[in-house]
Formats: sequence, structure tokens, C-alpha cells
Amino acid sequence: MKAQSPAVDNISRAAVLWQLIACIAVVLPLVSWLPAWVLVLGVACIGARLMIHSGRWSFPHWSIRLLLILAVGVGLLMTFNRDASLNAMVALLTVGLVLKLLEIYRRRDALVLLYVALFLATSVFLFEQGILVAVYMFFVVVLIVSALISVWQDPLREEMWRPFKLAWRMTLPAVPFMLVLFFVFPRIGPLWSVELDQSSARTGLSESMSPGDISRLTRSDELAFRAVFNDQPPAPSERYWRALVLSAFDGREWRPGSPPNTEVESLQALGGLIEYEVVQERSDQRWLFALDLPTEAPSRANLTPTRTLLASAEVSQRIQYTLTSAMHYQLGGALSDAEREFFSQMPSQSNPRSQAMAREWFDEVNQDVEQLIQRIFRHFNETFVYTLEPQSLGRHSMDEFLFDTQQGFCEHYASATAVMLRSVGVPARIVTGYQGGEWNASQNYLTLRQYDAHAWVEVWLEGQGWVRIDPTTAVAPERIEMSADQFFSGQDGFLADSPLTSRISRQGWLLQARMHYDSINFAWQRWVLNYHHQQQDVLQDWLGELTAWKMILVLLLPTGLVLGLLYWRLVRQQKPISPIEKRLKKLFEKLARQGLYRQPDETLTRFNRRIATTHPEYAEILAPIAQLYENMRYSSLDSEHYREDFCREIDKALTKIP
Amino acid sequence: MTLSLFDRLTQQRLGKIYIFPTKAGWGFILLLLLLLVLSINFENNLAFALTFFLVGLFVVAILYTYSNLLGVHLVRATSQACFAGEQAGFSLMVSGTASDRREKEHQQLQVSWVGDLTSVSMNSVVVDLVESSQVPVELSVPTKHRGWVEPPKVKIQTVFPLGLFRSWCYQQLSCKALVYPAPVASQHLPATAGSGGQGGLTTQSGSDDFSELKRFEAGMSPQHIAWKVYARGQGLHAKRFASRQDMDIWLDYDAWPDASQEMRLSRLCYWVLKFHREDRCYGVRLPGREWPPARGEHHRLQVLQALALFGKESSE
Repeated sequence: MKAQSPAVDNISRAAVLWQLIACIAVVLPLVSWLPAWVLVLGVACIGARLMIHSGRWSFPHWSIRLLLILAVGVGLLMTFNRDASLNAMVALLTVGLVLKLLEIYRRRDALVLLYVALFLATSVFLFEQGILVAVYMFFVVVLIVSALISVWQDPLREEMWRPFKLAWRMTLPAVPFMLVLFFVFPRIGPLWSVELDQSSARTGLSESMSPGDISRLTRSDELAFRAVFNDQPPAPSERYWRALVLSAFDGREWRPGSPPNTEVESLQALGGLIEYEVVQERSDQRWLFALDLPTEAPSRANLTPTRTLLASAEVSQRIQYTLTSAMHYQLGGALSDAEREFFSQMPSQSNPRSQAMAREWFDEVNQDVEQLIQRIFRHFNETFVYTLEPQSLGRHSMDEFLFDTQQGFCEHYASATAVMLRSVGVPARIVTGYQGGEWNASQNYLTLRQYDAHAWVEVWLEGQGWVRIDPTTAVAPERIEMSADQFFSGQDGFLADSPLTSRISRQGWLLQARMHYDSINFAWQRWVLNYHHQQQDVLQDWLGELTAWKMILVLLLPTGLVLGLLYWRLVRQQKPISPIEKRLKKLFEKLARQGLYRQPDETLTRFNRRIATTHPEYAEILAPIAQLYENMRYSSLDSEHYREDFCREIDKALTKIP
Repeated sequence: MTLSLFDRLTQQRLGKIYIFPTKAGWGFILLLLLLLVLSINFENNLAFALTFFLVGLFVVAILYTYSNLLGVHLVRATSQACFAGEQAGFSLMVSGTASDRREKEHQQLQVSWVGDLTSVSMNSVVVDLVESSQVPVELSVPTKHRGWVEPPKVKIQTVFPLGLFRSWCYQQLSCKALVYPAPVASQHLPATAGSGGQGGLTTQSGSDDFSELKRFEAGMSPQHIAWKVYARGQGLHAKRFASRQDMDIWLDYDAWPDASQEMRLSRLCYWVLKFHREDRCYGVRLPGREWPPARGEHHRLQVLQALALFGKESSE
């Protein structure tokens, strides 16, 4: 565009304010991710621009701008130490944005600013993905669009609301486009790997288990995962979520391990299968959670020999997967000698008292494994205390637990049971994972939090394979029957690391409200944030077999509909052309071909009079038409019959004029 | 239907409306691609959503930019005559949709000539049809020769509201501008034949003998305004002078036998303007046609038009 004068490229004063508003709005959600000095710089720049706007200051000299840029560059280098993280990128963009703010008064500068603002707005979602943030960002985009409109409007226009109103009218029709594209746009994997921020260590199961590990988790109500069921979930006592099988014991600590060259243990389902979907929070670990026991691994994960699930990569963001589990089953066919030895080995010197007691009891029950288990459980039931805060244990931890302290948490009971079984040569192993979960009936899902962490034992029984036994049921059966938060509430140490609010909101209407909030949040996570995991299924559910044609149709139909509606509103709002109008138009076109142009402001009668001087033959044809037209306009009679005459007369004229 | 129908027929309807992304629009496409890569790489569905939202906005912008131009037309184009070498002025009314239901706004319409004339200042005007549905616009065309000058096509374009697209259309104005010969001064008016012709008229103004006051009318020379009368609050009056009023001056095409046709016309033009300014009676004699001595605006226009079109085929 060629400017008629330099002023044309300037933006209005209202536009300057809009730029400021848009910038503030887009930086606001990023505040907690930005270094403090960037915020100070931002506030300073906005303040300075306002001073310039009000005419108290003038635009900064180029040397000041250069100095600022250099200082900011050094600042960024020092803060992020040349580390190209996401935070660094966002800080860089923010700094660029606020510095650009200082000098906007021309269209080009404003455009650069707004495009960067849009990029920054998208980057916000790399940090925050809550519903509220998403809604807020929608408004931010409307503000940015308002700013964009204000840039292109008359530089002399001052009303602030005018661009905003138009922005609303424009953004709403864009929503269906967004929905359709979001729905069908194929989600391909990342083009290259990106590092999400590796921030603080997460609470959650660890790879090994020593006394005190699990009970520490009850201090946190952080979300571990959610599981969605089609109808009813399994009974609370059946909700064992397996994560890890720990088979190697060093006298104090249990670690994963498996005998060499083993295949995946066979699974024979003895009852119905249950299908569910797990939405797992970021754990930074590789294991996944499956209801005891999964029939096969989901995509991008494998079954370990002990039938736990291991993802092919660390779970560095929320993932979801569908699983099928057998609730009644036989796990493992036969045990080879190597395997039997592996699953019953333990350091012979460790925990001597426990080993001795186990052997004694084993002889008492005539070497019957099941009776030995009963004996052990009875022992627990008699004098033991189930507590979240057991005393710490020393080297022979199980000896101390069984004979001295007699108080412990699930990992103590599980470990003691496994140790005693192994000391008489019975293969046994520890399983860690989660037990129970809070059922949300409105959305049919279970929520498992860190305090649901649990440990139990699997023992090898001839003819039955690996059988799950839970020593905790012997000492505190309610732990399994109730949800963990009901059971633990009031105990010292429970949720000790969580904010007060989450401890209070566990009863009455607060609980109800929390459940509602949680289910909304969960739906958001499942259907929006994790849509790429669902897309295939959703599209197939809705559209059946996916073909290219169907996809194109889905893409085009709503798009076309919206465009059509908008087109009708914007473009076809004029009255349709009447038959008279159509004919008159044709007539004038024909006359024009004869070199007779009607002046824009000429009436039909005057036009005719002018024609009469040069082309009397056409004037003759035109005269009745002009007369009829006058009649039609000025007669008080029903003009309907004039109209017919008029059309007829024009048609006649049209045939006469070549 | 009565008035609006005719009004709409009298509009010169716009031809096709063209639309194409602007540089800023291509920049926006680049931004969309960047955002898409960002969304794909971080597998971030909200980023996807925002990107697609902007895609939607991009499409909606096509319609809005199109509709911002739709219905805009030029009405009541008139021209102002000028002298060769000057700018011929065209006054147009940019008019918006005369929709019955509601006034449609059109913002930031740039009206200019098609072609390289836009480089000349004053030939590109940006108007808003917001407060009123019709806005006058003045455009001008540089002229070289006398005669009719046809204006080039008018281009109306707009990038409003988002600057992502430019839509434009062309319209031919239905009027022409008359270009008079460029006046060329000559010291002496040669002796001319004709009734009462007095040779060797000087160029001194004939303002000796004041005769009467006349009500000022458009076209009278401002030099003759009786300012003192005006200052007394009695309205604008022009002084009339009797000097040599009776002498009819004839301006004759044949007065300069050695000058070219254009030069003769230019000189005639000069004298016409001069006598008109002095509010004197003058007649003009062109080969084959003559205008008896008279004064006033109408006379001047008639004579100037004849000078402008002398020797040119013109039926209008």
C-alpha cells in the first residue's frame, strides 16, 4: 500500500492502549515462570509507554534502546546460562514483547508485537493446562484480536470498545472451525524430541522397598492415576493395582529382579474380564498400573516376566491406556528349579530369629504352606499394631519388627510374611502398587492417590500358581474394605505434607464439591488435554470405519455450514433483486451497448428526454416505460398491476433494442 | 421499493471483488505453521486448539474483509475543469450499502486510481463509512493537453479488519473532465477586425470610472468587491466600472497569424481569463463560430469549453 502521508502508518491512541492491554493479559499467566527481573522490566516498560502515551515523556533515544537490549541480553544469558529451556524461550519472548511496547506507534511494530503475543499465548499452554487457564486464554486471544483490529482502524478513532465488539463478532464464528479441526486433525508424534522441564522429584512408588517407604507416601494426597470403568468397578477388596514385583531381597530392602531367561508368566483367566482405561499422571518412572492382572500390554508398553507393565519411555506427561484384566486367574504354570530357587533365596544370616520362628511354625503345621500363612496372619492379628508412623528399624529389620516393635505399615507385614515364607523355601515375592481408590459415581472412575499406595505378597502354591495374599488384612482388614482416606483420617502423619484444605475437604458437602470439581477436571484431562490418546476411538465411535472421504466430509461439512451462515449474514443481507430490477438492469446494459449511458443521478424520464435528442427511435421505445415507472412510483393505487405492465413493457423494449 | 430500487439501479454496480492475503497475512500463515509445529512437538492439545482457533479466525477474516468492501460504490462523480498542465479534479461520493435493515459499516476504504497515478500525492484517500453512509472524495489526474480527459479506473481497496487480506475492486467513473488550453500571456492584444474593434488595447485595467454597485454573484471578480460596503454590513457588492464598457473587445483566433494552433488557443485563453477577471465584455471569434461580446461566468465557461474542444471531435 502506498501511503499518502506518513501519518497513515501510525496507529491510533486507542490502539496503543490495546497493545498494552493485550501484552499484560498474555504475560499474566506466565508470571510465576518468569525471572523476577523480567517482571520488573515489564512493569517499567509499560509504565514508560503510558508516560509516553500521556505526552509526559518522549520516545526513548536509540542509544537508550540499544543499551536496554544489550542489558537484557546479558541478563537472559546470566539467568539461563545458555540453557535453551522452555522457560528461557518464554522469557526471551516476554522481554522482546515489553521492549517492543516501548516503541510502538507504527503499524508494522504493532503487528510484530501482536504476532509474538499470539505465540506467547500458545506457549502458556506448555506450562499451564487447567480449565480456568484455557478459558482465560480464550479471552486473551479476543483481546489480541481487538488490538489487531485497532491497529488497522482509522488512526483518528478513539473509542476503545469499537475494536473489541468487532473482535467478538469475528472470534465466535472461528470456534466451530477450532472444534472441527481439533476433532479430526491427525495427531502425529513429536517431530523431534523436546525436553519438558525436569523439575522437582515426584512423590510416588520407588523402585525398591524398604521399611517406611510406603508409609511415607501416605503423607501426600497427590494424584497417582485415575481409572475409568464402563459400569461398576470391582469391589474395594478386589482393587489391587499392581505396579512392581520385587523379588530380590538383601535382608532389608526388596528390589526388582527376575530369574535369567524367563518368559512372561502365563495367565489363565478363571472368570470374567474387566475392561477399563487408566489415565496416569506424570511419574517420571516407567511402570504403569494395572488391576490384578492384565491380559496384555497396551501400546508403547511391554509385559515384564512377572506380568507388570513397563512403558517404553518414562512417563513424563499424563498418559492414558486401555487395559483388560482378569479378576480371577491362575498365574504361572510350573516353576523351574532355577525359578524356585530365585524366588525363595535370601541372605541366610539376615533376620535369624524370624527364620527360626518360620521353620518352627512350618513344622507345626506339617509343612502345609496355606496353614503356615494362616499361622502368620493369626500372629499378626494377635498383638500387632497397624500404624502410619512405625518406629524405624535397624539391620535385621524383620527381626526387630516381629519381636520388638510389633508395629508397622503394610510394607512391614508384607515383607515379614515374604521373609518367613522364603525361610522355609516357599517361593514368595513382594508386589507394590496401589490399593482401593475413591469412586466417583458421576463419571464412573476411581481416583488413586499416593496415600493409596500399598504392598502385598504373592506366594507360589503348587497347583494354583502365584497367589495374592495381603497380610494387612490380618491386622487391619478395614484398610482394604474402606478407602484409604476414610481409614486413615485422623491418624497422625496422614496427609502431613498436604495443604490444610485438602485435609478439611474430606467430609460432607465439601467432599461432594471436591468430587464434582475432580470429575470436571478429569473429563477435561481425558477429553481435551489427552485427546490424542482418544482420537482414534472417538472418531471410530462417531464415524464408524474411517475413510478418507468421511474425513474430508467431516472437515468440510461444518466448515461449509459456518462459512455459509456467515456469508449469508455478511454478504447476502441485501434484498434480493426483484424481477423489475433485473429487467431494468438488462435494459440499461443494452442501451449502454448502443453508446447510451445513463448518468448515475439521472431519472428514467430525464434519461429518456436526453436520448430523444440523439436517438429518437430508442426514446420512443423507452417513453412508455418511463411513464409506467412514474405511475408506479407516484400512484396511490395498488401498484401490482402496474408492475405487470411494466415488466411486459420492458420485455417488449428488450426485443426491440439490438 | 420505490426509492431504493431506483437508487440501487443508479449505482454503478461494482464488478468483481478480488481478495488476496497481504504481507501481514502471509506472516500470519507462517505464524500458524510455527504454532502447529509447536503443538505437534509438545503433543499439547490446548496449543492445537489455539492454533486451530487462529486458523478459523483467518478464514473468517476472508469474509469480513470481503464484506467490508461489498456494497461500496461510487455515486455522483463530477469533474472540475482545469487548464492543461494542472490536475483535473474528480469529486466522487463513496457510498455504502443502502441496506434497509441496518447501516452496514465500511472502514478504511482506500480509494485511488488504478495504475501509477497513485504515486502522485492526493490520489489516494482513505475513508470510513461509519458515521455517514456517504463520504465525498476528491481525486485528481494530471493533464498535459486540452480536451476531454477520461479518468482512469478507480480502485477501492481495504485490508480492514485484521490486515490479513486485501480486497479490492475497480470502478469506471462515468464522467470526463474538461481541460482548457494552458493560458499563455502575451503583452499586447493584436488589433482585431470586427465591429467596434479598437486596436492596441493596453493591458491596463479599465477601472477608472465607478458607475454602480451590484449585488455580488458567483463568478464576479473578487477584486471588485466593495469591501467598505461589506464592512457596513450591507452585504457583498461588486463595483461596476463604466470605463470603456462600450467598447466591445473581440478576441480573434486569427490575431496571431504566425503562431501555432495550440499557441493561439493558449493566448486566447489567457485573454479570456484576463477580461473575465476585469469583468469586461469580450467576444471570441474562432474559425467557423463566434461568441458575441458578453461577460459573466456562463459566457466564460462557454468560451473556454469551445477553446478546449476546438478542432477535437466531440459529440458530447
